[in-house]
Amino acid sequence: MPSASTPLPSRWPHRWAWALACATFPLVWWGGFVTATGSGMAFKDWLTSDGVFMPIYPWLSSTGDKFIEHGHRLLGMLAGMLTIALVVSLYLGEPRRWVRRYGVALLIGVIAQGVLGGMRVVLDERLLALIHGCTGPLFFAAAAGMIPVTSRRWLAESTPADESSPSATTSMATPKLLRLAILTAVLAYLQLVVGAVVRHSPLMLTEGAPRIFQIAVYFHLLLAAAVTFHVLLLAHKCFWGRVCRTPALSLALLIGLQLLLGVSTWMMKYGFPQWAARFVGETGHFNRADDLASAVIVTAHGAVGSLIVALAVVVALRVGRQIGFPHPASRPSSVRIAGVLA
Amino acid sequence: MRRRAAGRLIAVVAEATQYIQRHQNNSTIPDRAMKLTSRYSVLFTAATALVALVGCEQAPAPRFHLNPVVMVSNEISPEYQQEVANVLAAMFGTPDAPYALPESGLNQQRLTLAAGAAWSDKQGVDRGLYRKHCVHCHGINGDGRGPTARFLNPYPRDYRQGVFKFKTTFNPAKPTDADLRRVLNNGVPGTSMPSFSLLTESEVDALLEYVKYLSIRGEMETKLAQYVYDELGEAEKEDENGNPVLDEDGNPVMERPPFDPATNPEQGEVVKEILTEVMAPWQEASDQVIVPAEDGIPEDNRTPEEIGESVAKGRELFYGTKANCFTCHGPTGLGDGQQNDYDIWSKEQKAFQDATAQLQESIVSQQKEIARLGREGKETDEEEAKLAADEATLALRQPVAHSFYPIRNAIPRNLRKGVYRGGRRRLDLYCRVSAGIAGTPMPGVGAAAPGAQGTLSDEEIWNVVDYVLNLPYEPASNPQPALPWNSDQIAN
Ligand code: HEC
Ligand code: HEC
Repeated sequence: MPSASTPLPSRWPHRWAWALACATFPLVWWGGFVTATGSGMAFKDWLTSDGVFMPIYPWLSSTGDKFIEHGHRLLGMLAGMLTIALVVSLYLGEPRRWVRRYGVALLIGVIAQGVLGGMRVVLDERLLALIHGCTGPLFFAAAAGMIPVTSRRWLAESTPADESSPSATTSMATPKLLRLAILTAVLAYLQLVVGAVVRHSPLMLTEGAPRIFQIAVYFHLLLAAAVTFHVLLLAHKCFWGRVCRTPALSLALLIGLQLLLGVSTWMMKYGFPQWAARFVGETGHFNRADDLASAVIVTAHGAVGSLIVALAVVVALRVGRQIGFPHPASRPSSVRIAGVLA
Repeated sequence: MRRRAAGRLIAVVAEATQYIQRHQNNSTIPDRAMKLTSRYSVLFTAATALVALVGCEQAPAPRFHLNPVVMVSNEISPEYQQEVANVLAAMFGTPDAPYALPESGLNQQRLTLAAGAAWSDKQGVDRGLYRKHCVHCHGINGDGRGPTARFLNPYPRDYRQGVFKFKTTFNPAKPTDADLRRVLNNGVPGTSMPSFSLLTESEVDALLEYVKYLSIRGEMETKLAQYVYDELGEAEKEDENGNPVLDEDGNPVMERPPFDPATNPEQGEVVKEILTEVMAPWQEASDQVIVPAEDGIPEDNRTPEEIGESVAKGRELFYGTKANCFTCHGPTGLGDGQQNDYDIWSKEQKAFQDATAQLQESIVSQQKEIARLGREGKETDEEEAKLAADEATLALRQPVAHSFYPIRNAIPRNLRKGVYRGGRRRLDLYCRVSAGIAGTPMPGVGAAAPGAQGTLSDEEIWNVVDYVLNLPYEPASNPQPALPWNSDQIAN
């Protein structure tokens, strides 16, 4: 636990954290793109691509699904290396032990995610693809959470005694707001998981797949309403409470975009939903399989979903920070924890 | 092997967890919180790996399922069902390894390309195309019951009846390869059936071969079930002289002649015959193509007056009783005429459901009857035996009847939108009007077979086509020459 007198930690972890998050977001995109284009099984082997050790596979001269899938593998390796760099920089210049551990957890996460992706290929198992698709955004959210934690602002906010500092007087962060932020993040992530089921279950060949898909679709719609409500509420509270306004406002904008993308995704895959057909009547609309535009839209829906989760996590961390989460001295911690979890 | 790997994985995870726990003393709140999360992240990873391994263990190789409607309505016993499945497997293989019988004329190479799990080989050739592009809608059996089907309108096509809507052949004929290729390339606009025009030609060829394969397999299944129902079944055992064999108590001995064409040459012949019967229409499809008479085809360079004249004639026919289009497509072409009919795919399910409901009613009345007889002190053995048999049948039918998705009416197209699912070329519409749309209530008004006489002449059909193409631009309030028979119903 750093006190105010601790020397400022190195800035490198923060830079690496940014680099990692910036590499992970395209990685999430690209992963979604692999699914959208059905490129997951471009190779049947892993750690090698068609028998060639991954880093030396002639990626730029490959085409189609092999280009897409190998690109995902390379980007995954990049994320892995950035995580290693982050952990190294943390151990060199970060005095807070829990942050170092956070880094190690990230490293474990990135390795697990890689192995999961590899197993999905080696075993050619839809269920693993689904899980891999759920844990990817989780890692992204965790990587994004590293950014505020290693930031200067985080440390600046750690001076609660300084009552005159602007953040202390104007911030309206309350345990209630923290609770809302956590709830939003959890709901958004749950929505992501259900979305992954909606996406992958049609390609499962088990007897229960139709049932799973149908339930997941209804659940996804229900959660969409819940997430939208919570995100808007959170944005509203943050904005008027002057707590991390930028991420909160971005969240509000993203949720609008996400709803649009969701409707488009359905249309790109299955045409007009049944109930909408009654209003629009006969249309000559038809989809084109393997169409780039539709693959991009479908992928964007998943990627924006992960961004929403990540931003909600960032908001939660920063709100938590502002209500003095790491200052057990200021109030009995059990009270605060009870306040957050109640 | 996999189990051992799982065991090792769990051991490693447990060790890591312990390590983290050991280093967990004298910590502050955030410290503890972070550790907690890091511990949970490990646990989460472990749980993930476990779930994954469980999932791998459980996913069996996909296989074809028998058509429950066909099996139950033909009262095929479980033993015979297994034998029918065996025969089908011997003739057609499995979803992973389809087999093109030489007699079927299917192309083994194309089938292999289309079947199996989706992946791409070292040359970059995509394999498992059906499972990559189609299975989520059309299902592994080609029964149109893929996971997404419930939410689609119209439902994806069930290939197993071998009936296709958008083709250039006469109504009862099969589609040609070119027809299926056109559907795959264009999709079916206005439905969820996508266009596959971005696939390579060989991929589309492989897919259409696989559609035919599933179709032929489905038709074969139905015919085999009918054969088993008609010809086989538990019967009294007979000796060489045709006399019933009796057991010690003098009751006839029952036997079940197995359905096994591999060992029974007679059955082998029958199966071959059935296959020929199923295959023949497919092989003759190219002789069944509708060819409009050369001299009847309207020129491209007609004057507006000529077109107007043709449209007026077509209009007369459309609302006249000879072509009868308005009875379904409505007095204004909005598709608001007769809307309560079904296509053949719905009809099959509806008939099954209705028969099941009837059986249920009959069981209730039988129960009452038995109770009445019992009160009167009469013998009810015979009635009770029949009731038990009916109840057993109902128990088989009910789950099947409940498994259907909601049955929908076949709604005539709104012709004012200018949306044509089978293609917008004049020739496409000519084929639709001439042959009707197979499987749906829409009847053909042209010749029913090569050389036959149709309700409308070639020229009249072209007039109707001109009118249909003109309908979207015609004001809906134009007075109609003839009032439709059900105009009062429509008004209400
Ligand atoms: C998004 C769901 C969907 C996908 C994916 C799909 N289809 Fe279809 N398909 C449909 C629907 C719905 C229909 C029924 C259209 C109708 O009845 O008007 C249909 C109809 C068809 C027909 C019958 C057309 C006719 O003339 O009657 C064929 C053949 C067909 N699909 C083949 C395929 C093949 C091959 C693939 C994969 C390459 C495929 N479909 C993928 C939904 C789908
Ligand atoms: C018994 C009712 C019935 C009659 C009579 C009938 N139709 Fe139809 N028609 C339908 C139905 C139902 C459909 C929709 C079929 C489908 O795609 O499922 C349809 C579809 C169509 C289509 C759309 C084809 C496409 O490619 O999308 C056209 C055009 C059409 N009918 C024209 C006509 C004309 C012209 C006549 C008179 C010669 C006629 N119909 C008579 C029921 C009927």
